[in-house]
Amino acid sequence: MSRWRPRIAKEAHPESRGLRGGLNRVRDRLDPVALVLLVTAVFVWLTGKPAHALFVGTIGLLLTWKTIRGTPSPQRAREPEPKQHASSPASASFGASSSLAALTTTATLVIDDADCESEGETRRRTYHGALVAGVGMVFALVVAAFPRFSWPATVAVVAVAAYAVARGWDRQKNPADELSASDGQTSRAGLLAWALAFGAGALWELAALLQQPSLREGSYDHPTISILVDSLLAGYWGRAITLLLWLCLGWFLMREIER
Amino acid sequence: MSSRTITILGYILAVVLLAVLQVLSSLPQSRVPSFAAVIRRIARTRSGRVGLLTAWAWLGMHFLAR
Repeated sequence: MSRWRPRIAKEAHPESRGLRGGLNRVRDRLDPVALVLLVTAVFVWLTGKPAHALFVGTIGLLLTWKTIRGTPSPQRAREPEPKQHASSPASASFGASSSLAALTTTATLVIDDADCESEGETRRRTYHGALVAGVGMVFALVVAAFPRFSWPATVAVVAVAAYAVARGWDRQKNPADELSASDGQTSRAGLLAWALAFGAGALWELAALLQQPSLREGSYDHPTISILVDSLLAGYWGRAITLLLWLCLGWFLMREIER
Repeated sequence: MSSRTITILGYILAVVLLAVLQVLSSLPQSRVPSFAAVIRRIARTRSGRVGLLTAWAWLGMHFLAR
């Protein structure tokens, strides 16, 4: 029994471990994604894109700060977070249904409400989808009119990007949709296959990048994807289509994230 | 075959590989997840969501923004 005491005391008071304990806590809480973003920001800065580096680096720093400061204690982690559920538009109906179910005493009312809500939700989603598609088309056609790397194009793209990242930041998944049926069937090998495919493509691009005369000068013999699409993006329609594809990818990501 | 051709073929191969995985995922009883399922899996954590959206944001900035 006496063997246990020192160990328990250590775990109960990690602050007492001094600098080493502090370093261990930072290591435990260090977010690999934040680290990747910070390293990426440094390399992006080296390639002469300070605005991009600032964007990526700021998100990396915010994520690091949030991870180190915001790691909940085991007791807090068990507490429900109704405020964050309610703040998500996708989960708004979920919250409304829950409130109604708590207030009503008959199941009939709840079922009736769910039917009406389902129809309303479908109509709302259709309208919302059409509106987003229209706004996206107008955005792509207008922004493509500005020259590539111009300030108006930069402000437009950064504004959309910042909005998407901010919206994804506080997205809180409902416990009910934490693991869908299709997700449960996926194997670790399948996920590894996707990771390897993306990793191979990224390494191929990196190899081409490193064979350039410099990080800021392209190579004809070893073109990166950026060099290959330069001629496409030089024209109006190339920019418009690329912007539209970029927006579609963003919409797809947001849809899957908020599902 | 020139270095340029080999480099471009590498990109095409990577895209084909991703497309093959997506097709495999749609087969019945497939253990390969779809691209959407991979995204949902990554998006379970805040880091995953923010990482994904930042990568997407950077793509747009890289190709079009100053």
